[in-house]
Amino acid sequence: MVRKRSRRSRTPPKKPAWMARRLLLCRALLLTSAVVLQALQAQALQPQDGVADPNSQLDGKASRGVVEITTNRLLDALEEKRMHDMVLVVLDRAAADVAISDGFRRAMVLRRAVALGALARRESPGAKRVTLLEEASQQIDAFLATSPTGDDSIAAFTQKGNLFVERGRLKLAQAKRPGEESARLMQEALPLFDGAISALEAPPREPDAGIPAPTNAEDAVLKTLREVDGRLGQLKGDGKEKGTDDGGGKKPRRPVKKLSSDLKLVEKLEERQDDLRGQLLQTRLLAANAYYEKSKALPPGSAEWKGTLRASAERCKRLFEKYPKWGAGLYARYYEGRNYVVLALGETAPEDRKVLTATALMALADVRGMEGDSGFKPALRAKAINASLECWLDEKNYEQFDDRLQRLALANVPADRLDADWLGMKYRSAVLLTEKAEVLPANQKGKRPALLRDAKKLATEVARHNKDFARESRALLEKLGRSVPDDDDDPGASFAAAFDIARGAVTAMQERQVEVKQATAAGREEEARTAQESLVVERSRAIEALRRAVSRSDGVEPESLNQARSLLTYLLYDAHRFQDAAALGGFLAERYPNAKGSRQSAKIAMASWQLLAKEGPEAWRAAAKGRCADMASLIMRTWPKDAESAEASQVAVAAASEAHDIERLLAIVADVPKDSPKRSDVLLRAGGSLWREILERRRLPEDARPAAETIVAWRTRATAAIDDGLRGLPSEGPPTPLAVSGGLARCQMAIEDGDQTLAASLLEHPVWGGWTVLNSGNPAFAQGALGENAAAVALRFFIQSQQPDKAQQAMNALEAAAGTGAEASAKLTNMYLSMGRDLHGQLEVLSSGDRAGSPEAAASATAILAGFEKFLEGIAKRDPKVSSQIWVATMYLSLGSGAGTGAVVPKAKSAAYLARAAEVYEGLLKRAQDAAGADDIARFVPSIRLKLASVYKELGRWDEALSHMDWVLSDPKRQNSLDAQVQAAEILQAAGEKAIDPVAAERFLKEAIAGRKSGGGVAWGFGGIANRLARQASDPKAADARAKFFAARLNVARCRLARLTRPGQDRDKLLQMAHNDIAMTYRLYPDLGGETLRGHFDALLRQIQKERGETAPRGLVELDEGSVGPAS
Amino acid sequence: MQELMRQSGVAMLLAGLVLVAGARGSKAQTVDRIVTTEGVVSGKVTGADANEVRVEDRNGGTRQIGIDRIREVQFGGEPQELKAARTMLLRSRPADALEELAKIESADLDGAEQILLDEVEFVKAAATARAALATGVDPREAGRLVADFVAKHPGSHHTYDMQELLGDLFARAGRPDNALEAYSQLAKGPAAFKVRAAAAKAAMHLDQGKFAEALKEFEAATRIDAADDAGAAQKRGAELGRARCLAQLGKAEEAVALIQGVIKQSDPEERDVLGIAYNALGQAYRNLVGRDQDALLSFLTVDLVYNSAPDSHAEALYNLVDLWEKAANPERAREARQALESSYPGSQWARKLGAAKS
Repeated sequence: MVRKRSRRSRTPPKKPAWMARRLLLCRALLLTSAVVLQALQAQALQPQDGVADPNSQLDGKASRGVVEITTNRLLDALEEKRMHDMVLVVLDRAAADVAISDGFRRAMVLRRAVALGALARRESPGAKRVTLLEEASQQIDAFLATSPTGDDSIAAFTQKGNLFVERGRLKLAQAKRPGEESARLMQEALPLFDGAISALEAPPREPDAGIPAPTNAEDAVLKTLREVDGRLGQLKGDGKEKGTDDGGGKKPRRPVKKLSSDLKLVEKLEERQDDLRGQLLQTRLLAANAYYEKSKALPPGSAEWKGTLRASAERCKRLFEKYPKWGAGLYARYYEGRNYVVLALGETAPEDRKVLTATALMALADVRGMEGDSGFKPALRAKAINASLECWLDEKNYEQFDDRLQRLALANVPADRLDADWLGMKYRSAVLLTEKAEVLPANQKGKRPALLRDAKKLATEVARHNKDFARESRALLEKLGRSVPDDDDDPGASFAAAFDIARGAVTAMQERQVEVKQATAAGREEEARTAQESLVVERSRAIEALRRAVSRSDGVEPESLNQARSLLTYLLYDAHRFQDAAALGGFLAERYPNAKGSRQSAKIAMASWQLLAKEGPEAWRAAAKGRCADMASLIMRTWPKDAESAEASQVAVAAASEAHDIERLLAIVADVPKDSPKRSDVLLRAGGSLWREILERRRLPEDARPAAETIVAWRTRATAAIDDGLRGLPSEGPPTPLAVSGGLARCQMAIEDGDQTLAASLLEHPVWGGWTVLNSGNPAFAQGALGENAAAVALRFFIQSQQPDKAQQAMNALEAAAGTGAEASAKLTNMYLSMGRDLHGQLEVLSSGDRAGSPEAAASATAILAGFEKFLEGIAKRDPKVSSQIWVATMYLSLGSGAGTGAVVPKAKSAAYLARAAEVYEGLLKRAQDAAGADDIARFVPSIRLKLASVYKELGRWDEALSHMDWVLSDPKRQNSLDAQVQAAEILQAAGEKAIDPVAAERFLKEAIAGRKSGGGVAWGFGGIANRLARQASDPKAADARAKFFAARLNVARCRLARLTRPGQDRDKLLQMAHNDIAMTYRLYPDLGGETLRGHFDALLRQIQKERGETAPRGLVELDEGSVGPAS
Repeated sequence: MQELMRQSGVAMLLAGLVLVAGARGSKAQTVDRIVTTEGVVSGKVTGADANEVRVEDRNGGTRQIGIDRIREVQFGGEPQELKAARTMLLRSRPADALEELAKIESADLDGAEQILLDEVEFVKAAATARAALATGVDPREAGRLVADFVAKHPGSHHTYDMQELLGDLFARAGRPDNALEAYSQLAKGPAAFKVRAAAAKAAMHLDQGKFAEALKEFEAATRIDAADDAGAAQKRGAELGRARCLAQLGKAEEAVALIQGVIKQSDPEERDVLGIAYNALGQAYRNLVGRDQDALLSFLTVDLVYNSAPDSHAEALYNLVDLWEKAANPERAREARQALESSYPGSQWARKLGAAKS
């Protein structure tokens, strides 16, 4: 046998142009209701394959290039495969192609409208659907403005009418939602339905009047049909072909005696004529339906309401009379009857009501009595029976529901076909049988059990299906004395049955939610608690049912299965089963991103991971954070242009920032779609985080710092991201904190670059400039972290640009932002320190890279320093406030202790800055001793002394440094300050390494290891520090303590090695001790505090091994081999 | 790229036979039909060599039909299965061709003339070779069959085509010198064959990743003096090969322009050529930053419109799997993967995808 190729591998058969447009029309019709569609399918239209449309203007490849033909073929294939999103992409590309012909360009507009309409149907009712439908309508209007003819015109007007109906229905659906302005929305729906009628139906005119240029679908069909009639008449020799649109059905053909080519043409035209008649019937049915839809927007019982329903009914009647044997004609008859049912039930006058009911039942009888079970018949018959039952129940007329109808009602129907009409028929049949059983005359009582058994059977079926009329059926069953059988444990239950149970439980759950809310609001606690308990039970029931449904999904359509999964995701989240919700939501988002509900599930998954990261079991939190970031990335990748993506980007940026993951931040920046609605926000957020990370990395010790060119590359990307983000901000409207923050970050960069013009424009941008908002009087921007940052950046800029007045204002703003509470001064000091660090960073940038040592760098640094000096001196002289003086001293300390800035800050200048810092600090101490200023300064004394110790250490004035440390450590409370102890040990180590006096040096080094007691102060030394932290050395959560422990152990060994350089030492013993320090640490804590510290330990051990005369030092490898010497 | 060469190659490969009409069988037409680029010539095939097929028409006159104008020769009285097998071969479905051949009962060939037995041998060798090239299995067995055919039928009109096939098999086996020798035999044919020979050499370099050398050969192919229809078609194929090379050499923009030019010059019904062209276009776009959507549309065009050639279709599906993934549409990626794995399970593209997955 020849292997069969897959369906995919076959090129779609070539279609004539009119066929393509016919398909387009059919797709346009898809927008109409399922009911109408069924009617259209039912009327046994016969598409005319291979017949050229006599009106076609687009046939003929000669006039079109291969690209256009290919595009056309591709669009046909995409439409056939319902890849409407790709249709839009292709249309966009084609629109940009100048070589595309005008005819094709015009046709593209209609294609776009159809694609938009189809995409709208995939959306759940809501804003997006409305927007898509409106866009589709605009496209249709644009297409109609080109005065299309023939099938194009028919398709466009039909599409226009259907779009109006869809939009009107959406308004009505919105009007039904609680809390909406129902009356207004219904009023807004009316013109939409009127628009639909105008687009579909021809205005009244005399029967023989000519057809004007079409302004509606009916005229468009009629005009084309008359042209075909005319041509047929000519070919048949009598000049005209009459009565094509008022006969109904196919006409008997007159014999034609012509040439074979003429005969073929006649045959084709006759087929075309039939096709157009079918389209005429479709169009009129759609128009009649539009009237019915319109009635729903009118007040029931009003004259206009009645008139509209009658208008619909009369049109349907005419259609039935013309086409009584066509499926569409029968549908029209049903619609007519249904309209009269609605009118009858809305009529309050008994006599009128009776007449209307009779009219309805008469119309419905034609459909009710229809025999056969093929095609559309069962569904249409069920509708008619259902509508009839409404009348019979209203009139308590039970006898019309005969055995035949009862059998039809009881017949088994596949679950997927059980729509509201089927279920309505079954439920109303059950009611009717129940009522009939109750009023049976005495001589027929024997029939009662059978009637009630059938009623129960019908009600049970509806209740089990758990959709329309389920609640009513349950109530009926209770009345009948038996509750709905619970099939929860039925292992044979199908996916559909389980899903229905779940939906029923969800509905019940939602009702309980409302009850909880209402009872809580009314203060009825007991009632609320009971409702809450019921809610939990219903939720559990829904979850279990959905789990069963999912486990029985073999052969189930993915759409239904994913709907169940999506609902389950939500319920699991609602039940606080976050792990499960995250897993299932993630699965849906990853595997079926285009399924309905997947976006929602993805958001739920992300929210679940967030909650687990925050509140979940401690051991899971880190992993949950990672999964949360992964989920955010997935959302951003999958729906890059949607609102979900914007939310996800916030999470992703936050996660990447928290993880200090620069590469991830860069990836986020690179992946933001150009047309994402939140592009600016994402770029500003990610760019700002990048900038903060860069600042942090630059402050790392040189051996841990990334390469300079890497930092430059990151900075370039951060700059571009923020610039791009700022460019995308609206030029007007209130500033957002994100915009202000982004502007400040960019301003800092500009300050660093020495671009004062740019920095000023950013800082004083009229909308989001940091200085602008700081002075706007809006407390949201003047206080808090943003206000502090704005003031600090402004202060730095105004100092550097030598604008003393503004600098003073900025300083005042900074102090105001710091507040007045107990922590204000510490906060202010930190802000000054931060500013000093930034300045330091700026100087480091100048002293590194290509510009290092250049005259330009030196000049820039000199200018920056001059600006600061001038300002600092001004403050020092005129502002005696402690905080101001501390700031001055702290800034001098920052400027003077510039390791790495040597290329731009001369050594002498550094020393001068340090000396000036010492002077100001000492001045403050002196003031502290003064009784008048003591209270004001006393609380700063310890921190001032610590700073002074740092200054003197930098200056190599060891005794002064240590005396301040002794003072600090003389207080028992301060002795427990780990930072102070580390600072003291470091000063002792530095003193030991650098002191000229060998005796003093030896003493300092010993004290650095073992500690010191002097002047009342107790310093632990590195050994003491390590001992006190040893218990935390293996605790991964105590990162800071761990780092200090290993650093202390390392420094102990370093101090021992430093002692080697002093004369009179026992060299071997010291080397052995240093070796043991490392070996012991390694044996007890093999990770040695991480990669960086491990590297330091390894290097130090190699140095020891070298000092011991080993020719090939192996570092830690030696310890791995077990030859750890005596210590082992 | 080689696919285009192959398709016209197979057409030539199947060209006429020296045959005296007579008792070739009794199941099909009784006259021979030569399908040419201009139409069908009916009559008796009275002789052939590497460069032409000679046909005696009803009036007793003899026509000489150049090998470069022949698409297919159908023999009067040949078994239906043989005809079907040749058709499959023409449509680049070698596995199906072999299946059809297997249906021929020995009784069908009882008393058949040698020419039909040779034709069976030819279809078998050519289909085995095509299948080996398409699926990447060891080419030695196929090479033996083709080499045997060439050796046994040195004067066959199939000579050029079988030499090309032999060259392709040598290239696949990593024996470029032998391949070049085989292609040089092909270059002895009419002008269109010279273009094919140059393009075949170029395609070998392209497969080896020697893009600069391949580019040079393709350019040489386009410069050959071959202005007739067959030559022009071959040159379009060479232009597409040139574009593939340019794309690989960092000149993807230039490649895109070149391919678009070829597409514009093509007939909309040259579906196989357009399939190859749109695949090349997709590949070129993939080499450009930010043009994944253009690439996706190009491959989608092959998948949905120009999918008649299996290798082209498989290549498009292979690329679509990745591009749909990148476009955050895993469902469509899965569909493309399933289509590739179910429709072309033995193709190099399915294997490549399988390798990437594992």
